[in-house]
Amino acid sequence: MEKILKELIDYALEQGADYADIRHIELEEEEIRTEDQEVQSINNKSDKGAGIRVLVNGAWGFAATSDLDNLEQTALKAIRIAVASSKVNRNPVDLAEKEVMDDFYETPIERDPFEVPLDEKIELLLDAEEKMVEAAELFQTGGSLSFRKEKKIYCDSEGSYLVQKLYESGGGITAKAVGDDLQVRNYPCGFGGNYSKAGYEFIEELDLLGHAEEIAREAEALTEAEEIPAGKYDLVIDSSQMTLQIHESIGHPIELDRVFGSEAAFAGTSFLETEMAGEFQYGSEKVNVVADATCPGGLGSFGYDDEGVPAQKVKIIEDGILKNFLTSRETAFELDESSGGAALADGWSKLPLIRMTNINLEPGDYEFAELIAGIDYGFYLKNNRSWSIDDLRLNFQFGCEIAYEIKDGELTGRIFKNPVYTGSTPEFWRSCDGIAGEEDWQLYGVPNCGKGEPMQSGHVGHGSAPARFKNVQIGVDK
Amino acid sequence: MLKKSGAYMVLDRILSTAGSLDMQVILKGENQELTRFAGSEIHQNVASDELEAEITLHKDGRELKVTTNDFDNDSLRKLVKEAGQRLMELPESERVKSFISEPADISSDNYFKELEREFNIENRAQKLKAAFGELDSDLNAAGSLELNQNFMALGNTNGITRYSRLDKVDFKTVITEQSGATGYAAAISNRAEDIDIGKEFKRAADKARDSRDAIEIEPGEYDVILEPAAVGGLISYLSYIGFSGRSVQEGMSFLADRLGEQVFGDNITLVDDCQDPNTIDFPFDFQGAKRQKLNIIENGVAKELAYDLESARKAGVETTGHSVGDPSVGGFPLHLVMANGEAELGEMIAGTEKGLLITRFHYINVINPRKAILTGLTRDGTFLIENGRVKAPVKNLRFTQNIVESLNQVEAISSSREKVGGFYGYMYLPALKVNGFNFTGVSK
Repeated sequence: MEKILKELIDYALEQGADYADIRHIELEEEEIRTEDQEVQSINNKSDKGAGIRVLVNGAWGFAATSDLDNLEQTALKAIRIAVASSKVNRNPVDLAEKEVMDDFYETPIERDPFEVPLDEKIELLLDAEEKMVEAAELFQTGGSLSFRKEKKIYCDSEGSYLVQKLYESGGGITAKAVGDDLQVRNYPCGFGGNYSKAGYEFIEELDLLGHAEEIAREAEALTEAEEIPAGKYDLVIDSSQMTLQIHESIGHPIELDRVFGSEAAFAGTSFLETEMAGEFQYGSEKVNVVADATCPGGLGSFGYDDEGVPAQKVKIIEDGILKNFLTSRETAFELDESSGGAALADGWSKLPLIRMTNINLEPGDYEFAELIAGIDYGFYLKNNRSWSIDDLRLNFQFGCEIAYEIKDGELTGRIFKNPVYTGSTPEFWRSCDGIAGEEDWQLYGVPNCGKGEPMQSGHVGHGSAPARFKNVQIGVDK
Repeated sequence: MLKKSGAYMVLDRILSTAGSLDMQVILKGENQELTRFAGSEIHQNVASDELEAEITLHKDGRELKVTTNDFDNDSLRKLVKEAGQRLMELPESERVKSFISEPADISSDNYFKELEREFNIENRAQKLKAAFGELDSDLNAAGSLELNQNFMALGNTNGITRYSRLDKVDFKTVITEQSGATGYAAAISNRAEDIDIGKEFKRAADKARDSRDAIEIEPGEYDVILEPAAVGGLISYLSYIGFSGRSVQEGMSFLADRLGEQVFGDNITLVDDCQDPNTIDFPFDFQGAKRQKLNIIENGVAKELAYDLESARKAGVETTGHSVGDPSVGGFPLHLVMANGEAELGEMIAGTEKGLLITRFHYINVINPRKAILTGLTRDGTFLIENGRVKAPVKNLRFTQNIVESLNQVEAISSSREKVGGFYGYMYLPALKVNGFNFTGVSK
């Protein structure tokens, strides 16, 4: 394969490309879903193909094919596209320098999920469903597991040749109960569960069986619970919801292609500008955020990005001040910097875009009980249920699955349903007055981050401990 | 791009590996070419050609699906053999699993060949270059122009065959004025003559200029005039949460226990109709069933839901041909058409004492599916109307609104309709004037 890809790069240069790179990817996926204690679906996918990216006269062209006997024609198509673009554009693309690398990287795993017997996986989900059904009066139960193995070869005209073997594992369970309305509790988080760059050991560590009864009872209890009262309250937000909060109100605004307007017509832009780095108070001094593609188990971890740039840990917010953006080689050049290694594509058929890696809120120095103790009356919110944010990434509104009442510095045991909170990004992060410590810090994976046209689904991670925010608007639900 | 005869040959080749198993094969081919621009320059210009087969196997109530894009004969035989072995590892189920057996063939290989001629690589670049050249220097354009040629073919071991060609062009632009004010316009169609890039640029540019110096208004209840793109956002999400048989069975739908009742105002009629010339002709679903016309809402009364085979069996009815290949979705209407009214947009504005004119919504999501409460924000052209005139552009607002209530408060419906992109394909929708729309926040 190395010879074929290197010869193809040479062919693209001979045909007029000034720069060329190719990604050849072989992908295997498995998804298992159960519902109402029966197997609902088993889907396995195998897929391979190659995407070729070229620069001609400073303009990009990209073409991809699943027909691997047709790579030269695909390279010619990429060049034809770049030539057409170059006749429109006034400003040629430049790329930040990078080191030429020849390397192999593999996700560290203990148990290959594709070697685990199918019946073991199904039994786990059905057993978890049985525990939920036994624990509470439920309308519906369900569970899912999904696995992914990707062999990615990257080769470019600057001389880099990189092979990566990446594994992902994920899963979760769901309990639905019906009273006046339908209430849903998921473990470990909403929408299919949690995901990690890891082997089957990640599923075992999730302990789906150990959490089944709790979410079943909570789903049932929520059907009897009152709606959360509207008003401004102090909140402690669990890591399972902090994931979406970080994702939408930090992760997306720091994508430098958004800042430059590349997503203006679709996903939107950003309230940030490049001049704000080093100056802008994004959050309180408690807030420290990194983009860490080296984080063990992070869904956004890898060895090299899709421009052959090594995985890095980049400071994004330090003591509340914005420091850096997520960059690719093209956007980093505009800042006269080297790439932060955040150019990633959703498979062989898509062009690399700036994507989040693992955008992590670093742990603070509070005990969880201390966070709760600092609230006279407020709520502890868990698990995301809905999300929405404006096209500048300022005005957000999130729904959660459950709110636990806090009174006089203690959790009372009372729960409320349908919690929704809303705010504006910098004001919200500046109101953060405490973050729990390392022992409460958890990583969550988001396998469906949408961006770009054609739409690409990013696999990104977020680590966080529960955090406290002051005076947040709750309950706009009409 | 495989034509019908070529696709059927590939289907036959895969189905011949079935042995004693029941098998369905979906063959999906797509040539996608998309030119993306920002700052009035092309910054992403891509093409991909993909062909994949989804092979579903059944035996004794068990079901398993494998997807591949490797069409080598030996690879296919090995894939199906291993999948068959895995299938037998599954627990037996009393859930009925069977593929459909009639009609023998449904096919639609008509498509508009001028799409490829008009919107090939060079022509897309030239059309955009010309449009950029017409823009004033204080404006810049972002957006995308996509030529999408694709087909779906389906066959199974009961002997049925299906083929449909589903080409389209999808164009959208946001024009930004130097103050940061934006305007949006879009066009989507399977016919080349429907896509006039210069016209859409002008529409978006006019909105961007009109959006300068936006004022901030207080959140609260406003009468709103929703242009078709804004209506499309709401209808897409209503469809997602509420129009499938499964969502009613699950209790997630606002139509649960309400079939046959007046749920919207009697001026609202919404059908799903793949034969409507303003939608894409896709006459069968992902289980090979013939796509039926659905009268989802007739004069405000909830009438018919979208079913796939599984949700139909559970309900004791026939499938309506609305599978999208995912049993967790059930049926999903892809060809929504809302009945038009008699009003003109200008009349709606003239008849509004105080309200908002809304171009489109951004990032809609579901707060409560059972109550059809959605949230989202306005973007790219939101205007305050006072005393029958557009008075001023306003800063973007967040709505949190029960959409069932809104569709009971539609005061006027436009006579003209537009094709609007949805989750899949496109819809055909009018503008609506809706009273008492609830805004809960301002984007600063």
